[in-house]
Amino acid sequence: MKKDTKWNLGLYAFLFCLSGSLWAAEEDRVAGDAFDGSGSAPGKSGYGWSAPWKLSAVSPASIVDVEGKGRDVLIKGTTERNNPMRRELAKPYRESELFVRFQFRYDPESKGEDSSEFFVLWLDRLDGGDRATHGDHVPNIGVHVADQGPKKGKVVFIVRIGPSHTAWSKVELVRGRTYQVVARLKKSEDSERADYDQVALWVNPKPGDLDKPAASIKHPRSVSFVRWLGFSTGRKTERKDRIFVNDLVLSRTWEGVLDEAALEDAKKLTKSHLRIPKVVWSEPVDFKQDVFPLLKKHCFECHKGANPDSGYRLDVRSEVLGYSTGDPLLVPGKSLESKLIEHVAAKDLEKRMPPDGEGKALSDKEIALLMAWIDQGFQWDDKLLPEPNGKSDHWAFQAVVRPQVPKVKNKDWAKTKVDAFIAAKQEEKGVEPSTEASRRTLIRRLSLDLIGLPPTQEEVEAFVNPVNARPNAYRLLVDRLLDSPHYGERWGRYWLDLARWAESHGYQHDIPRPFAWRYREYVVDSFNKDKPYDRFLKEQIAGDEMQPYSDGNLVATGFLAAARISGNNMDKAAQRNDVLVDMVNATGSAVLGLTMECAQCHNHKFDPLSQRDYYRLQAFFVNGQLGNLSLQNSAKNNPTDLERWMSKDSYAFYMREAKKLRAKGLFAESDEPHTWGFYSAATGDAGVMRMPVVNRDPIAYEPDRLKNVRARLLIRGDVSKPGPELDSGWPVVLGKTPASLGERPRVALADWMADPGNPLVSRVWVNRLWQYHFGQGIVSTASDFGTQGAKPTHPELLDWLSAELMDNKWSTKHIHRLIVMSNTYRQARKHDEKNAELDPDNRLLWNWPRRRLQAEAIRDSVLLATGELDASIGGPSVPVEREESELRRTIYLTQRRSEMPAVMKMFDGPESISSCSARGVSTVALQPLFLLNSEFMTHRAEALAGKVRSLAGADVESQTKTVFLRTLGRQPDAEELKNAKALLDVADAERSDALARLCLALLNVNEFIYIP
Amino acid sequence: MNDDQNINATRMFNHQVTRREMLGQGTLGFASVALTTMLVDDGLLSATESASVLPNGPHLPARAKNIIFLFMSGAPGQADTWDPKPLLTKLEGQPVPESIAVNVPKIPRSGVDSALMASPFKFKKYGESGIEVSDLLPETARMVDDICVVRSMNHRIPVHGPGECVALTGSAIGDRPSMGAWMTYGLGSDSRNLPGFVVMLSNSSGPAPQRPGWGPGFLPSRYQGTLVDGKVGVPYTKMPKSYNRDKRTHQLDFIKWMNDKNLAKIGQDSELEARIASYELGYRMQSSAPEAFNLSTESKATRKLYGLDDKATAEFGGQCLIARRLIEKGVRCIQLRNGGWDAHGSLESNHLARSRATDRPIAALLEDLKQRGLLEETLVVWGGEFGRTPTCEANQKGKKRGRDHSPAGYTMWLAGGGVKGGQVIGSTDELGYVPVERPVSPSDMHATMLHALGLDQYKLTYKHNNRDEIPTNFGGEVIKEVFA
Repeated sequence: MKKDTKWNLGLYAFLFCLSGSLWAAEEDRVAGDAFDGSGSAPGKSGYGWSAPWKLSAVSPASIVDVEGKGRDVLIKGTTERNNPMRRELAKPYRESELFVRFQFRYDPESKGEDSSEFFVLWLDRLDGGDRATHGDHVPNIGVHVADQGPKKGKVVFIVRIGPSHTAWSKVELVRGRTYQVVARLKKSEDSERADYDQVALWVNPKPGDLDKPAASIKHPRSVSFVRWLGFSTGRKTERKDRIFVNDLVLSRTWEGVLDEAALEDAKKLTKSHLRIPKVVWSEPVDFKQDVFPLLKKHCFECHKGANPDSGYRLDVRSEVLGYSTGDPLLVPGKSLESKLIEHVAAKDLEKRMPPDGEGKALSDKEIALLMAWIDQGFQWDDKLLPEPNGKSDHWAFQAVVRPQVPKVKNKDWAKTKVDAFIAAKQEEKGVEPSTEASRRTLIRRLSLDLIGLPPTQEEVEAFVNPVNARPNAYRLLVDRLLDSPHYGERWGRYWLDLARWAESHGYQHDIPRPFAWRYREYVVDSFNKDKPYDRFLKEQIAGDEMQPYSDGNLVATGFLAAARISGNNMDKAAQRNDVLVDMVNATGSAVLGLTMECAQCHNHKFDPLSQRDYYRLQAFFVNGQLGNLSLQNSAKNNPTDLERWMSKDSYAFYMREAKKLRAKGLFAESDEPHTWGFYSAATGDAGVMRMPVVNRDPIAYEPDRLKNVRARLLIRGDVSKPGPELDSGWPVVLGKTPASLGERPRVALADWMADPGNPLVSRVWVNRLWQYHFGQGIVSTASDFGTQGAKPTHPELLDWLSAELMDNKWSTKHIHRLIVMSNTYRQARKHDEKNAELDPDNRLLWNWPRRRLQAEAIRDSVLLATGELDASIGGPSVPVEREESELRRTIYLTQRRSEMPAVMKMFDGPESISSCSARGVSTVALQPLFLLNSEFMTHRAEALAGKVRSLAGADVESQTKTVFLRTLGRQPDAEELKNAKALLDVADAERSDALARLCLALLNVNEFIYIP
Repeated sequence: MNDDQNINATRMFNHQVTRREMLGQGTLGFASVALTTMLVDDGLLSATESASVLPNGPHLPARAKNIIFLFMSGAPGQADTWDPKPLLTKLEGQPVPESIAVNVPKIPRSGVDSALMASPFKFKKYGESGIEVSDLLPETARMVDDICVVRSMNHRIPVHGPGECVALTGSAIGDRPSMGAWMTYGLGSDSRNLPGFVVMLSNSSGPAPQRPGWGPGFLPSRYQGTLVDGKVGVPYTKMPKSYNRDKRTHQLDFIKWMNDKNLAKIGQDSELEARIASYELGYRMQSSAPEAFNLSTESKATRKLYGLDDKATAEFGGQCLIARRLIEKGVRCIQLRNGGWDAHGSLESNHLARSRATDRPIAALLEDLKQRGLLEETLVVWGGEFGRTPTCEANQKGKKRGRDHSPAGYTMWLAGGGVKGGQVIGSTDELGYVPVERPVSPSDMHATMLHALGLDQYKLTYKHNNRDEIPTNFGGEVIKEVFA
């Protein structure tokens, strides 16, 4: 048995592993000096330096032998600023974290504990000379008298960034005691040009103390790299004070900066929780023969395949190395630093793999084998376990192929191609379509559906009157409605739901965004112009990049900029990441129909979307920021009186916040035209100016820094755990991202979206259009085309419509025409018991799926009926105070997230937090109470009564008929006339109130509230 | 077309016929209790008074049927109310001792470098249990034997808005459903005439109310709390001036007749039927809600008990009394948010004013519920979004002194609904910075509240984005010892 010969009992297994980890710590070191060279002055010893120590001419440091303690560097005070020794690194250090440690002892002239002392180590870009203070924004670490806090008057360990930003630790200096001082310089933003804005300090740290610094300070301005470091004494350092320094180390990591004794402790501490085998595998490991069977036996049940239960897979080499999660399961050569060993050798049953109760623990031999496999360099067999090809056979990820239009029996009914697809399924199931609806119903349906307003009495009569009826009257009606400027207000609102658009930041303070209305105008206008959908997307995703520059394109970035911004001034990195996450999630959901958000913290559990995919998509946005952006050619439409379109409270609040920022120089008002948009400092048009944002402590906008931000994968979605850097790209399963995306990467992203090979974008859009017409999409989960989403009821129809969209210049109105011209769309609402039994949910569309009007259409229909609607298009919003005096369409009411218009709150308006693909339809008792008792409705009923009186005079019958015509678009039948007139049968003095009651009644009936 | 010809075999119409026959052919009677009740019971009509999603009732034997959450926004100081700290008095003006400071988590504004501030209020023992309560709350303290004080609440969010979201939804982001929405979703409501989850705001000075605190999150919107002005009642229940009962009834009869006629033409349609029924429910709500909010009929003794005629207590006292009346009418969840506790400066006068406004009403609510036998089945919970620091904020002096936010350790209490009163759970260090015994997170508290109502946090699920969401997000621990 060959295998057995590989097993040796060996006590040295533990030692072997330890040394492996020690190397790791040493590799992290950048520079150091143990001052063990010869001579009397610190000189050329150490590593990582460009030249020997530079000594001060005023009072240089010297090397001394201290009895019983070996050699130390001695520094003496001069009672003035002096830099006794400093040295230049071999190359400037710019990485995100730098740890430094030195040993230090302060022997004052007298042992008096109350004397003031001063001694620091500084880290700077420059040398500065013998007397330089290294003050401005330079990190200093050392001891100083506390001038405030609980240790006031005592000498304590401090860190500071420049002289005015100091953190005093509670650790008092004990004279004559030797200390290990450790400090960390850290950049909040991981960029070479970012400053080390955080400095933390540890005194005599233990290995587990990383999250417990003795003091820490944050200041946005500091140095962005370190080239020189040195020690300083100051006015408070007495001539006879003797300071001893030794053992200076600079390291990339905490482990690397700890001294050897501490490191030993660290190993024992960190590995005592593991069951380290008492055996060692001493021969070369053969993956196929040794490791594969072990993994298969113990691990693959949960850790194999495209979507493993656990989210982690052990059957792909790159995934074991953390390719898509940034969280490697093992580190080749370092078994004890490998997660895999942490889990299989864990003593804690909660942590152990395989989990307690689900699988047996690995034997010592098996653990030793895995350790050897890792320590020997992690051999793999790509034939046995190849890299996946990144493809998926899920229907929605396959390119659209135009299907044949099916042949059907019911040729009379199936007049259009859309009908053929519908009829084919109906015939398959044996259900029969409904008859065509009446012309009166059709004009009301079309009008409410396409422009969100009921037809006027005249329009109805013209359409239903057989005398006027032209053969193509229906088509002409469709054309007229699609050409109406109100079409964009109706259909643009669907897009605003998807864009989670609103006019405020959201979150706690919900500060208004006074220029966000321009995006609404852009959307309405784009729909009215039937802007090709691919172009519409491109402007919204890449409007700031597109050339030649246009104001309209810049306004379009309001889609990205609809992200919420918190007032979380405690954690800027998290605040900024929340904005990026919001943009990725909305884009993924609205445009791609994917639940990308799942992959923010882990690989998607169901869809072939990895965490890496998520952050590659996020990478498109990391160089940009939201803000008030200058417009260049919109002077003629530049209302500047913010007060007019914000509610009184919002306006007062906004101005208060703006004032605070003005005082700090963080905000300036402007009469220039602006829009609320997204702008990339790296790739956006150079002519765009950005006006600051009003927010509590806004995210700083520093274009130079922003330009150089590199996207990084966040391990487990945690902003404090940045993983590897990433290039921009789209999800692998949807195709290969080219090696270079050129100078305008978001333009490339939009081009990819519009590529005929993109399987999702066109399907998702035509499905949404179908859903808005019929209440339910062909895919009922309109924003989830993933494997867990609903299957299409009519897959061929979906693909045919997608092909039609792409082949007709992405014209949305073309798809509308295909749909509304169909007999499917023209069916009457009619219950049928037999059909209902075969298809109770009407998924085969044998019946018109009547549905309630949305909040906006309810209010707008009421205003149209009363004759009060101000039908002007576009412009800034109407605040709640002026709702009654400016009776404009509901889409123009101010949309501050925390104070949405009453009618939207009442009738299922979206929360504008995340992309909304379908509003709910709730039926609650407060709705009728709103429609019966609210001041708004009371006024409308009175207005309608007045209108009716002016049109119909005092005759009750004529009044009644007019109310019916204005509300329901039809004459009452005899019985209705009788019952309605009964309501008006009151004393003369009561007549006008009674008419208002009848008006209100008809504004409440289902026939008015539903699309017939 | 005659209506009657259309009355065919469909189920709903059989009911309509029955009702019409009952009321007499041709009349326009507006009272169709049978139909409405049936739609509600079938879950077709999701009025605010929706049916439970749990066909077999709660998962666990329910201790409580209803809940009243007294949310003290701005955050009362624990060392000034329910968590006495004699050491604070001893160390007044001194720095935080190292032994305690080392355990204070690194939360911005923890005030750990500031000087300690003694509470301006004295503590006394109350009741048989002898639990110490501050002089601020003499009335509530009388009820201490019914109260279970949890002194070891803690989380890490030091900002009001997100903190309020944590306290009421379990997450700081504000995108998850409120606890009240979850409870209404799980249990429905016994009230046919009132919303199942009612929210009232008082003294909204200070941090703005957070809508997610009573929002539906990803649950259907019918489970959201209905924001009610205590003085006015349920919104839109007041008829326009020119209406009276007869005129409204006549109008509603006409609407219903029109709707029935329309439905008859279309055939079976549960959504339209639900909308028809919603008018009947709305009407009943309009009829009965004002009564619930009309406090003029209350006896002199009750008015005195709740302090309705005292300017300081009138607003919150009125809301507490309404809460009791709503409980009697079967409303499931009531949330009373009292603002203004954010005492960064002048803590003494701030807390005196806030306590004066709330202490008597809260005691009255507990006492009143108890004497009516309702406390047994009503869980009452008191607390803010976090607590306040043991130290004085900045360099304020004398009466100007106040405390900063401290989520690391604070107090909440529970009463009624099967809670074992007269006990203290958990404790903080000698200054009140962090729990040293039995730490309790907001999610633990939520799990406990749900448990009291018979709901198992892991079984009450709602599928959202293909994930079975639970009320406590990542789960909390039920504090078993809370219950008798």
